[in-house]
Amino acid sequence: MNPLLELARERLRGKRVIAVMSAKGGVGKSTVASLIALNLSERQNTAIIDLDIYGNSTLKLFGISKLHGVSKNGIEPFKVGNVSIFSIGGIVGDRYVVLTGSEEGNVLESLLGLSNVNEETVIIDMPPGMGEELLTLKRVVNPEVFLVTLPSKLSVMTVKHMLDYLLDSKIEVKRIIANMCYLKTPEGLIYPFGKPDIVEDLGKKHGIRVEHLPVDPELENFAGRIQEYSGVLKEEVRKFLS
Amino acid sequence: MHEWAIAMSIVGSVEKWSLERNLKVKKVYLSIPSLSMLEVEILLEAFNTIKKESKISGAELEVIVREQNFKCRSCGNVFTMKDIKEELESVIKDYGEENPLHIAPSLITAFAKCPKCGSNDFEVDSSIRVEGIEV
Ligand SMILES: Nc1ncnc2c1ncn2[C@@H]1O[C@H](COP(=O)(O)OP(=O)(O)OP(=O)(O)O)[C@@H](O)[C@H]1O
Ligand SMILES: [Mg+2]
Ligand SMILES: [Zn+2]
Repeated sequence: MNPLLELARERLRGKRVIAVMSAKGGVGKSTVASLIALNLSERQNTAIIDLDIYGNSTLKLFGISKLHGVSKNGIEPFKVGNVSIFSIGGIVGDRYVVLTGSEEGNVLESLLGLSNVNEETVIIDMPPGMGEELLTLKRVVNPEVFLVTLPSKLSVMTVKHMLDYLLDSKIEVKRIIANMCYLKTPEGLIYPFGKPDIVEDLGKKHGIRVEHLPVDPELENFAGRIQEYSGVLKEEVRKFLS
Repeated sequence: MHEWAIAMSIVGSVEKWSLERNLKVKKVYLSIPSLSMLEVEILLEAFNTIKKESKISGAELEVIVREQNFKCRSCGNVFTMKDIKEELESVIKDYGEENPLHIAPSLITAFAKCPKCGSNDFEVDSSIRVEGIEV
């Protein structure tokens, strides 16, 4: 019997759990996860659990470099407005993490089991790929998935396999998000990867809605303070949440 | 401090187990890794407090602390906590009581190396598990 796994399940039972994932790295998962949380937090308290043990981008996006407090109830979140954030980065601080494959799952179970989540909506920021994180998440909870991709061929081909797995595993894919589709310029829209037709086709094939997000060069100025960002990307994310 | 959260998880999962089988639990055997530095006294106190509000209020907790045998996946060397004493001490010095190993003992590979070959790539037996239930 594995009490931490049971506790993790108990903590997330009955909550809305949205996992933002992609088989591909660097496509904007953490950015989208943060913007989903920031949008939802305008109406209700929202938690983010950062399952990217090695990247901890959520903390970097919000500019958090402290350690988590620990109470009788477990790991206490960092609070940014109405957003509560949990991350391994808040346990190890400014230090690399290296783990064997078999211990990865244990670390994730500890994080999920010990995080004192009191919010009804929980956003999970997933690392890229289809390793232990994906399996651990599935052991603990049946999430709804926002699947992020670039509209590039390479990215879509990789993400297609993840989509196949998710559908095989009866995990609900709410949206496919084609990030960095277009850039607004005075001369009109530029599509750096071409028109996102291949993403549209993938969505149509499985009856999943596809959302298109722009490139926002302004975003870079908000690294470390994404909570202050209110640009076009946040607006676009808000649109597909409602 | 999070011994209380762990005790809560044990009461919760054993209670669920007993209700599913309609069995009365007399004793719970919990196995923890010494690496986690969990305090057995606090675990017992927490368990005995939390169980009162549960369906396993008659259960007693026995905690077994597992000594660690780490096995290097690179050179095969087997070593123990004594062999990485300095690293363990510096984790406690740097982070205090609520240190990473206390919260997630699996993180040891981020803080210690095989004393023979210097690799972080070693096996750990770090899980917290209920090993037996007496009814
Ligand atoms: N729509 C966008 N417009 C401009 N920049 C973006 C956009 N989306 C993401 N970025 C930038 O791209 C980089 C990668 O984004 P992010 O870290 O969110 O990706 P990720 O998929 O979470 O990466 P990882 O695989 O490492 O977890 C960041 O620098 C981010 O600011
Ligand atoms: Mg990320
Ligand atoms: Zn070695």
